[in-house]
Amino acid sequence: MATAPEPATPGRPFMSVRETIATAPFRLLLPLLLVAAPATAGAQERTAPAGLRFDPAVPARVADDPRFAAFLDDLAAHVDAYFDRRARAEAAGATVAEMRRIYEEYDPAPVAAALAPHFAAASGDEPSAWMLAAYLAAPIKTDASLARRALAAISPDAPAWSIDPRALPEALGPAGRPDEARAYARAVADGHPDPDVRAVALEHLIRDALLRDDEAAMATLYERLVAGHPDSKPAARARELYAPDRRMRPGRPVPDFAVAALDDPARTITRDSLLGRTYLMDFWATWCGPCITEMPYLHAAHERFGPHGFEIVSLSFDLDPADVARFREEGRWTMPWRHTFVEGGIDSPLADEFDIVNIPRAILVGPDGRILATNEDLRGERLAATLAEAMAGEDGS
Amino acid sequence: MSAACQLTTAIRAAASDPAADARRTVLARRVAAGTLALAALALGTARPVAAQGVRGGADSVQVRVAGVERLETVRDGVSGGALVEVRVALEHARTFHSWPDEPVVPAALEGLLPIATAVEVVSLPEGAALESIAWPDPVPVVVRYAGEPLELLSFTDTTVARLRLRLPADGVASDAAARLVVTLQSCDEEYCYPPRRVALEAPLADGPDTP
Repeated sequence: MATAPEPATPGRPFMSVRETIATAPFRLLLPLLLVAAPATAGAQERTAPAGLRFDPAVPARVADDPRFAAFLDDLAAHVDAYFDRRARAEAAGATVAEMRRIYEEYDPAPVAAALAPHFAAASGDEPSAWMLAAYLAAPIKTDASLARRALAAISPDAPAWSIDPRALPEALGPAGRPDEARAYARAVADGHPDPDVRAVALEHLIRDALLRDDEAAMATLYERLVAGHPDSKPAARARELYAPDRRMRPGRPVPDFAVAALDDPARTITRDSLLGRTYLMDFWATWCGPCITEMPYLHAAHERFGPHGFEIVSLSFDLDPADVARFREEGRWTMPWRHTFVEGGIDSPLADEFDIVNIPRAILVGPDGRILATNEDLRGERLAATLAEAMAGEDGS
Repeated sequence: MSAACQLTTAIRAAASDPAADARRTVLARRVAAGTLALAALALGTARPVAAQGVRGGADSVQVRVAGVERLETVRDGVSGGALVEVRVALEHARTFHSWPDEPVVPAALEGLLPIATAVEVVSLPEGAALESIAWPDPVPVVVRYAGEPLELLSFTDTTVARLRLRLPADGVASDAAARLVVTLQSCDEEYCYPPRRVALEAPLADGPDTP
């Protein structure tokens, strides 16, 4: 049954709210615009305290409330402290692994405890809900107890959820109670006045249905999201990840391709030449930040699964194939696997065939030439888990 | 929240917020910016809204000539004509950012070959010359490409480059223009789009400022 598009909210397109699954090992790609005063020096030099900025959704009566202002001060100070710690480590030459450990070892509980008096001082008042929502939107790890507190204290139709699209999933996921989160998300999807927030709730429900293997619910929710919020980011992601008829989806045969090996242009890599192998097609470029952050995971996967037959084919969308060589020779990532250069990049027939509109994109192909997994399941720490499942019994584990 | 409601709220907040302290100043500035954006929406000149997945990300950053202004008409003691400032605006859709004119690559992205944002003067009327190009300072943008937050000095929201051009002493033809090409490469918090080159034309003849 078709659903009429809901009126869009001009000026408030979606921000990414990818990570809504409570069981996810880490939050992938939640955007966060934490804006400091304009910097004049290098990235390591934080010359001014950061300020949190939100959409104009915060009512004046809340923005003017000294309790809310004091809370923002404290919250921003905690966010600053985290980034200052990272900046100091980076300036001292910390490795990528060490930088990552700072994040992994970051304990949100002390921050939650430090902020508790603010919530107590405003308990039951309107600013309290906005404080909680602001906390959830901040680019630091969310404390589970505060996530649960937010779900208890903020009503599903509360305007505070409009403070930032990432606030709601940050409450639904880390709260760690999937049944309650599902019920809450349904209430938001049905009754929140902001269509952007409703779309975020629907996306959460789709992922939740996916995890429960409830295909009927998934299909219904998918239709509701893409038809009701056609221009939203959650809908765009859903089309890519959950559309029943999407081309790049697990189970479908990978499109045929023939690309010249970068190291040896006389050699052609084709779909047929890789039959019998499990391989990852990694669409990337040397100018692409999120592609570079995948490097540790790609190298780790290659090291662990390579001896068991796993291969990686990196397809570069660079402007010049020499950039790939420069990156591999001069940087820390040698990428010791197969490479090719996609002439024409995003406008190439190959990009069109594989539905590549931006990067990074990844497709895991099984020995029979069928797609095993795509994109989200292959990024960050999920890559190893997906590969372990795909190559069960072949990696010695 | 509807656009109208947002607009009302934003205007109210902007009007009533005296920005008593730094935090509230930041918030108020953001609110005021939102007010302007929404007001622009009402006029049909909204800040761009990117539709995720548009090939090449052409909608992620709108590039336009935001204004042409004559700063002075006489140059003391030196031959030459009016000094003109051409403002080129890069309007990033929400969540998008691009590398600044002088990218600083953090250690976590070691090896990355950034595409600096640049504006190139392709052609000027005869006798005109480029005096300077000024970019604003980049701002830290926090992304979570692989889970952990990462701070990048970036251009985001609306970034305006100011090009100062010296026109010839005898003026320029009525159809005179500076032809420019802007290079940029944008990302949102999840994906990056290929580098783009956007051609612009800035009228240089006398007349009211170009809006």
